[in-house]
Amino acid sequence: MADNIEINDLIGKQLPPEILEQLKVLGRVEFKLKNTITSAVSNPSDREQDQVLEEDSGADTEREVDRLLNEVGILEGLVEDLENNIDFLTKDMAIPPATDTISNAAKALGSEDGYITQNVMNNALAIMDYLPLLTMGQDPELAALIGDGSVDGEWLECSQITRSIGALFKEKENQPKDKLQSENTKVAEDFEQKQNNMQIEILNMLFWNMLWPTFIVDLVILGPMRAVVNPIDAMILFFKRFPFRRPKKEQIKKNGPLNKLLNALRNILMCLPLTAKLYPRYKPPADVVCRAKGTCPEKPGAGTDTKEDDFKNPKKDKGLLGDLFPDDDVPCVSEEDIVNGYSPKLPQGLGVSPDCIKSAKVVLDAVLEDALTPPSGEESKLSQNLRDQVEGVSL
Amino acid sequence: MYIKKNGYVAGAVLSINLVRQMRRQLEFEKFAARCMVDNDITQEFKSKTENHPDQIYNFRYNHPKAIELTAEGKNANTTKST
Repeated sequence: MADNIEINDLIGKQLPPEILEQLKVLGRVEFKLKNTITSAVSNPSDREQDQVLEEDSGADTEREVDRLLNEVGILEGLVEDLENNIDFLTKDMAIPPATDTISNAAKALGSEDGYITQNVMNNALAIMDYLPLLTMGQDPELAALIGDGSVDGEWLECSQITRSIGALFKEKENQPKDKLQSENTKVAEDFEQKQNNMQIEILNMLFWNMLWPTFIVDLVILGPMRAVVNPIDAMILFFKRFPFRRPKKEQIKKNGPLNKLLNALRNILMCLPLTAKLYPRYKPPADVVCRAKGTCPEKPGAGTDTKEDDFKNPKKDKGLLGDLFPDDDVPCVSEEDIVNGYSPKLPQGLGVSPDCIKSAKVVLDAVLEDALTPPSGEESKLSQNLRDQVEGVSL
Repeated sequence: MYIKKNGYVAGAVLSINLVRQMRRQLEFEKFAARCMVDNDITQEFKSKTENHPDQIYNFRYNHPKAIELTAEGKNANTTKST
């Protein structure tokens, strides 16, 4: 048999149909043997056939792509059928809450009476989908597909996260990016910038406070000269004993009025527009301290009837410096806030609240537990059978 | 598994996770196809996703990057055909 096969006969020819049938595996594409370089030269008659094949390759590719897309479409039909069946078989769901925790969780997800309905279950599933999807503001599948998984959006309440969450994103995506920034985000960004400036300022103050005492000669001889050449440096030297630090209670009690007076003087000097021009390094604290000086109402909780809205929109009582600065939309930051550590309302970002996630998990656990527990009648039969078996063994 | 209890069939609930995974994979394939090819079939993919009750996959089609990619695919197809 092997003696009858000539290799040269196979070059540039198709395999016999019976052999091709054996080579076909699960409908894979049938590859024909193409000409080698030498055979193509030796068989010039086959060139015309190759040209025809090349011309048809574009159409073949399109047909192949369409075939693959149609397969995806068929799969979608299958998945749709399954989803419709699930919706049909769960549309009358009404699982009574076994505990108060489950009842409260179901109510948080839209149930009126604490019963777990299909809608409540779907909301819980949407929340659990939403959580990993927007972890760190990234959509992992989007990132895998197009290399950029960033998703801009705002914090959503628990009741907002339903199966129609994508529609919310659609609206957000179509808006200009500026509008996507919430007020909290602007406040936080503003504060972050000022905080950076503040750190630079503190470093500068530390630098000068350390430098001057080291060079006593400078202090004695060059100090007055410097006061003439650069009055701001002289002022800093004068007030170097009052840096940005929180005084102890004893110090406040002892030197309270003096501290207040000196701090007020320092602030006035720092906040003069001329100071910022002459000495740009000291402009940032002027921004932070001066503009909000004396404008902050008491924080919620600390005062009596102060509302949160009042805190966002400070009163226009600007004290001594009221006429120097225009009314700007700056966060209300007092010196005390800076010293104690300002904690603005940072943007809560993408994600859901822990309570919301907890409610969703409680609901889904309850549904699963209910689904895995046989009905009460079946349970009794099962236990009856077990009891019979035990009795039979003992007998 | 066809046990009906509290108004629903337990087997349906137990298969939710599987079907959702299938939907996720399917939407991945659809979106990839939409980014590569802009034709009637992929446009139908997009419209079906928009009309699907579970809208979590919808915003991908409105993502600026996705729109750019689709436009590139469309231009590439046009160039190829001309």
